[in-house]
Amino acid sequence: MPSRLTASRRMVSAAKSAGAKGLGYLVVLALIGLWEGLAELLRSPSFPPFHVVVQKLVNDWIFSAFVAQGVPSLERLGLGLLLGFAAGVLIGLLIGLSNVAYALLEPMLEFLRCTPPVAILPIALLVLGPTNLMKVLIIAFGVLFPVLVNSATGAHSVLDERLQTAAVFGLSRWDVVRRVILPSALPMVVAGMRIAVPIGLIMVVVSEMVGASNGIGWYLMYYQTLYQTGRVLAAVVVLGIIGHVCNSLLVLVERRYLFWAFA
Amino acid sequence: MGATSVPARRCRQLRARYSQNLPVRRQGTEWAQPLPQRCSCPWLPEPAGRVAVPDPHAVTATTGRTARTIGAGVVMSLASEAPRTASGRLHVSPSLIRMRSALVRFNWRGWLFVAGILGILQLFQAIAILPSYIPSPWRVLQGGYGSVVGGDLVSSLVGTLVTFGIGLASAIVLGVLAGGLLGASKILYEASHVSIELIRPIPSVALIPFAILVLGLGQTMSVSIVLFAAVWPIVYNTYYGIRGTDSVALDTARSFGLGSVARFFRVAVPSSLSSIMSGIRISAAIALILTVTVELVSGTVGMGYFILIMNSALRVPRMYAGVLVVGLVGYLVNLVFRSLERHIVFWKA
Repeated sequence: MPSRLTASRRMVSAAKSAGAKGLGYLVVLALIGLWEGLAELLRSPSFPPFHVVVQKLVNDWIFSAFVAQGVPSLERLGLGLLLGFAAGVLIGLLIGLSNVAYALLEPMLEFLRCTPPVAILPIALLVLGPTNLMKVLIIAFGVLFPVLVNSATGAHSVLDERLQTAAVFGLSRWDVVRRVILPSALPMVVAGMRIAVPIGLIMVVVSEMVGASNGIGWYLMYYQTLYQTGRVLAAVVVLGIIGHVCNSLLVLVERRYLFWAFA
Repeated sequence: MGATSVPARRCRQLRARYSQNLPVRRQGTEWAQPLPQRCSCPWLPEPAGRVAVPDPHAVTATTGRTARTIGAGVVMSLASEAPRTASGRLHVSPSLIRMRSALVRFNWRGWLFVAGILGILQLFQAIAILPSYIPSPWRVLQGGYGSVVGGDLVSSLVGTLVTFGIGLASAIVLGVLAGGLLGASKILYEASHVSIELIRPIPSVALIPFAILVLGLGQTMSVSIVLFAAVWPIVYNTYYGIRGTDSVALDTARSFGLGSVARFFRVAVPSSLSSIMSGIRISAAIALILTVTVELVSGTVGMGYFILIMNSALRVPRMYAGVLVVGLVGYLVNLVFRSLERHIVFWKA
């Protein structure tokens, strides 16, 4: 009767969703099979089959190349992200809180925000040379603007009722900033960080491609000149994994600490 | 009740009369009841010797916390000096008000600040010797002019814009098609969801060496990289736009007898247009970044390559001029796509 009907319906829908997921993985397997077939057909040095890529991945990147190339890249990325986030949040909150600062800085920030950070790379290269500092600073520059814009918007758009409640409680200006505005702005700040992380990753790779002697970007360009497509693709896969891990970390932080922000 | 003109709805005092069901007549006719004395509405004739009061119809800029009245002074001066019609009503053309308020809204302080910084930099160069990698603004302008006359800046700019344009256009076509298909058919979405989630986190910059190996150096390679990078926001936004169509609208359409194909094209697609346009705007920015990156890294003709060779040749003012041009292009692209979005999706606030 009713419970039996709903039980079978639940089983059917569970089977459907499992089937859907399974279909997704089946399609991935099919695409890999297609890749192998195409590589077999073309037999070109610039189109290695899938198993060669996996082989290079396992040989190189399980620990030897990861230590030599991956760790420096991750160091630069981490430092650049930290610097960019700190500067972006500070300046962004300042701009969001002070109308004068916003009016003064708006055209400059708007212009700098719309320039591709890659265009600033040659300037940094000229001023600082192909050093680690240059890479960290250019990553920070790229990461700065999304975080800044989002922090400013977040600080600026605190709900009126929250501020009025704070006024009713007689909070001082500093207390209002610390206890009302900063926590209210936090969801938008973290959203800005989520946008900024892929940009940071792009800046790591590009800065290492142009002026470096180690790092994943360097590895990519070096083996491209040697026509070793298998290694190049293996590095691409590693970068994809790093990007996915960074994004998942942020999503985890968001879910754990900012669960109250999602209506 | 006589015909009520526009002012009656807006003037607070007249509105009070209106809400009390008192007759509100057009100016020049007889009033059934005497007007309240202190009406500050500019549409009514001013009593002699009036005091300037803040205008209730002034342009207000509402921030999140306080409503400031910008332009109150402007509209007040307009009210006192503007021509009047025969019945004594003020004639203030809407275009004049819009122009004045746009003038007031323009960020004078910000641009003065920028000009001030550039001026200080220029003056500082006259007193002290700047390091060679910070040229004075005037020399940057001279270098830019030299490059324009020499022809390489213009041809690089054209190369960048062509790559950007073709890449973005194909990304829009492909992205909208793919997103539409994914949104329309649940099976297709489930089938491709896992593969998309695997491919998406790869930064497109990382694919440049692979693309060089497969496609060689040239515009095909640049356009492919730009296409790969710019397609994802459009696909996602199209998909979420179509999936987020108001189900009440869809049910209404169904009750009117529209089939699923007609429902898709007449209900889902127009309602997802705002999402698609915002996705296109994001993709435009990404496409420009990738275009410059590809040219910088691989040396195909374009602004990235121009900046790089000016850097290698140590022609610093020209390099800065190139960076400024790229920034300007980015700013204009942002402006153009925002206004395009506002025009196409005119119903969104």
